[in-house]
Amino acid sequence: MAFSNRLFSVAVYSFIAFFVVICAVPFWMVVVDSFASESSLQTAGYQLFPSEFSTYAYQYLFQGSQLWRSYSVTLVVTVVGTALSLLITSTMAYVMAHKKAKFGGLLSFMTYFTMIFGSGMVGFYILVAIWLGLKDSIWSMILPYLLNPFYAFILVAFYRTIPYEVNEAATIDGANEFTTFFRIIWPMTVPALATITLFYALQYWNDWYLAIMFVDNYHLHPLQIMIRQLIANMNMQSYLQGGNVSFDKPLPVKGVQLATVCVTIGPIILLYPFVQKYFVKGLTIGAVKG
Amino acid sequence: MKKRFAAILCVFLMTTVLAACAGGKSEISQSSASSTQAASEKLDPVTLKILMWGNRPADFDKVVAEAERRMAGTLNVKLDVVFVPVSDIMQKIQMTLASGEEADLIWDSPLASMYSNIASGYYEPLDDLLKKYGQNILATRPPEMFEGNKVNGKTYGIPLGDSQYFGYTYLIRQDIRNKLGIAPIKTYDELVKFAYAVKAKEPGLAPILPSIGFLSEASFRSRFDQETQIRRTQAMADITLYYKNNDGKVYNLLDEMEPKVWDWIKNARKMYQDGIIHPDVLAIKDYEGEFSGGKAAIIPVNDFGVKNNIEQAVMKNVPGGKVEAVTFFDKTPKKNITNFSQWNFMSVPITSKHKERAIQFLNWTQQKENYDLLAYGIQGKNWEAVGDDKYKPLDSNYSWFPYLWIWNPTFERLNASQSEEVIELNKFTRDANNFEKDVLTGFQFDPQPVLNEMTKFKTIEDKYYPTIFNGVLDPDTAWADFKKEGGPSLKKIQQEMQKQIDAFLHE
Amino acid sequence: MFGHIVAFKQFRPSQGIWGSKWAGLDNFKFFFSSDDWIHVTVNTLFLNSMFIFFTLGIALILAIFLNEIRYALYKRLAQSVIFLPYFVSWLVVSFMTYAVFNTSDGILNKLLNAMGEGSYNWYGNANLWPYILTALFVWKMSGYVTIIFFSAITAISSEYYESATLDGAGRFQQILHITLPLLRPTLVVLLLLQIGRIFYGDFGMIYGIIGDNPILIPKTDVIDTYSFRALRSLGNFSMAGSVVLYQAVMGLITILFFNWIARKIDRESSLF
Repeated sequence: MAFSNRLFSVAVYSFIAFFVVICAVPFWMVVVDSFASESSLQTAGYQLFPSEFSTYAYQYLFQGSQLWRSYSVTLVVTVVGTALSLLITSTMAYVMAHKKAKFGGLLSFMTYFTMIFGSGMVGFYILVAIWLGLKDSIWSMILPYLLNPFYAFILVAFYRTIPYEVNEAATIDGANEFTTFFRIIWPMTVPALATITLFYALQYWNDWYLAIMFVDNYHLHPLQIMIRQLIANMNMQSYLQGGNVSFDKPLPVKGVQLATVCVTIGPIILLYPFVQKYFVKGLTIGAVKG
Repeated sequence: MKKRFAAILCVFLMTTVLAACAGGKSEISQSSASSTQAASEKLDPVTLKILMWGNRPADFDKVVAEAERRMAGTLNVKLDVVFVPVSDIMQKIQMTLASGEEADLIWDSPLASMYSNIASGYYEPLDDLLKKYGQNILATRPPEMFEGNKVNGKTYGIPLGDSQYFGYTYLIRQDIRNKLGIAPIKTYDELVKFAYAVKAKEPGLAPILPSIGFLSEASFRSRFDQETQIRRTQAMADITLYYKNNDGKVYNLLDEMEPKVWDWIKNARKMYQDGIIHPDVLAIKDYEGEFSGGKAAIIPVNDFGVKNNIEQAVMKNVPGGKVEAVTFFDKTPKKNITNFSQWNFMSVPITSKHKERAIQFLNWTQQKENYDLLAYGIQGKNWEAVGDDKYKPLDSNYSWFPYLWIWNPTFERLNASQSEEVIELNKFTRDANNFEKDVLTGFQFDPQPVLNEMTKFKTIEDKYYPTIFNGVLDPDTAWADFKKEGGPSLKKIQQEMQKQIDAFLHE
Repeated sequence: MFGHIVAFKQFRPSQGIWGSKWAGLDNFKFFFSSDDWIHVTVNTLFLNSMFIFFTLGIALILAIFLNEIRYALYKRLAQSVIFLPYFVSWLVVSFMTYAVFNTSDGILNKLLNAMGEGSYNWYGNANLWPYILTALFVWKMSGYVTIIFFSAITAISSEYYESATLDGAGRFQQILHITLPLLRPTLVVLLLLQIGRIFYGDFGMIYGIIGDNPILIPKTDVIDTYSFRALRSLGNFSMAGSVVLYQAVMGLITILFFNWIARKIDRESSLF
């Protein structure tokens, strides 16, 4: 018994260690090589320890005064969007998972249906830009993503693990639906909510699509659009350098791609420890039951 | 899914949008400058919304402020320029047009969705407006540039360009050529000899690295085919369908192989087997980057001269590395045929409320001092003039993008740092009179009747073309397969195209 | 939803969806008129099945194993590290892939050479690439899925494990009899969610890595890349729409079927 347990432990630790290594090594290369000079990337490719250090890729990425403005737009969109999404998704998923809720199945189906069948691009654009009048509004970057069906269904799966007796007990104690949800159900699903929060935050942080479509005013451009613009136009520009453009040095085409990865990872480095904290103490169900 | 689809559509197309580089003109047409806003009457203030792709240059606001200052009191135009990432511009244009949103000037290109936008009736025909308000616009371009870019006899976009013909070049490593003791290369055979010498004496260096599509080894050679002038058609991005000489006929390689093309293919096959063509030619996406990294000795590119970024990169990456351009372009006047097509246009959407003002504004940009401002930025800060037709950039805060809204062959300045030879070539291609006019100048192919054949053929073409034209597969068997799969579709496209051409020539 | 009508229209944006002429099934012809649609559909299903199976499988194992780890620091660190590849763009992945597999100085060929073997042309053998793509997909995405499983595991009451330990169950048996059954609803939901999209190829990934390489196309071309290549220079809304509609309808049929099966087995884990 003890032996097989130990054998199992060895398997566990080595499997995890193996996976950590294959994830860490390429990622290390991304981070380190984002500080490599463009010429060492061109001649030697990705290296574990680049031969020549340079911050040119970051300088290129962060040129101009747009950076801080974009950063704050992104922060506002991410914080407001994530908070609203969390509220709407969790309440919606609760209804979809609720045994006594009417049309729960239909609601789920409709949610799922829109995930597969979109509305078509032009229709979506006209709805947001013209009917809702959200053109050049910060809300155009928030509202369309409020409910992600994928995350809603993950939450549904979580809610379903909560025994229905919890609801009944709460009702007997005189709690109304809101109290039941926010005071009792919500704390019990903290790990799941933390996960969803993380995913929503990522979604808002990484989005450029809505901004491209609906925001023409560059004062309201989020970070990702700034980066996308630089990268998308970079090849074109480096192509043009041959003609009439002359920069002091070649554009860091390869370096910027790596630097982008490091820049987009920003929020996660801040957010992930919080999320992890909630993963450890998800023992509430047992506590309530007992 | 659709959104992503459309978004990426553009990325690929864009890589060929701009081909030629600048050619300056020393004589400035004085007549155009004098035709400034007929009177100094004061117009109502108006803000024009202009949609284009690119980065917003750091000093853009300063330049716009200066432009608005110059227009204050006369044109009274304010500018709201929206820059979109190049990868998303096509979708952005379509959304703006389809939703009927307010925009006054839009950049478009036949390689994006210009023709389908015209067919959908989105763009205003500009002929009358140009006559009335666009004297400078007309005066700064040869009439062929308008003629060659009409659709159904009308001008739907102001052609932006400074060249009538696109240059093509092999970039080679000069340092290696010198090291091997080979004289400067003048012919394709010498180029091949150089490649074999590289193979023999420079292990670790791939002799030739072509790309895919038209830049495949065997099809790139058509650019230097002076005798028969094999050229691409409007329907295909490569030479599966082609024009020959100037006879107004579409030829079809799958129907009847051109012996010359077959020789090119055979030659590519031999070079691939001999290890002259890079073994991973089909897998490499950034082939210029490989060259810059010092991993190949020869690459084909879409331009005259050595690109600044490549030259500097090679110099930095390889000790003693030096690049030179080898072109077999024949600089005899009237030797080359062109149809004067351009790839960048400024169009006025039908929904714009300021159509006259938009054209008046563009007309205003076609005066030397205004062109200089919008093309190069603030003089003394962003650039300085070198003579009348050259310039020197001083910083990178105002990147060069006249091709998106104002580009013309009259006022465009050359970068003073370019070599004499390149300047000569660029000046040559700028002048419409140096070229034989294609009998099909002004012909545009409408793919609508053969859309299904087009889509089908394109997927088949992608499977075979780069493989065969780079010699990766044995052409004897692969060509038969290509013919079997793609032949029927291509035949129908060819017939439809010939039908449209005959109708065009008949008129 | 109404946007899908463009698939049956000869769509002219200026005329709007309703104003455009009806085209019947014309827009579907380009896709269905040769046998290619069968090949690309098979490729899409095969690749996506591999992606789903291995990603969910590996993520499940990772989550369970992570939960077994007793050193808090190691656990947290491992958790963070396996999530990192999610942030690496497919573009960067494609450059890394090239660095590993290229013929002249790829890492793999250098290894082969060091062992005295000759170089191998990896980009010349199409059969390998579905597996290489799967490995890359698992590498990039399993960390993301692991987080979902891991949060599901932490929601499991510790009482179950305590009583199991009292009954003398080993750790492996606890996983088998407690963790796995309790993770089943999450697993099934994730599975169903993925199955609904099984007809959609991962365009960003496959076009990013394979690009237009004709040698690899026969084995790796999915519906999305196929219609991209067919339509990229034509910009035809309606034809693109017809392919998307095909994917959506097939996806819907598939999901209804699997949801029905899930309901048969366990009402609680079905989606609707």
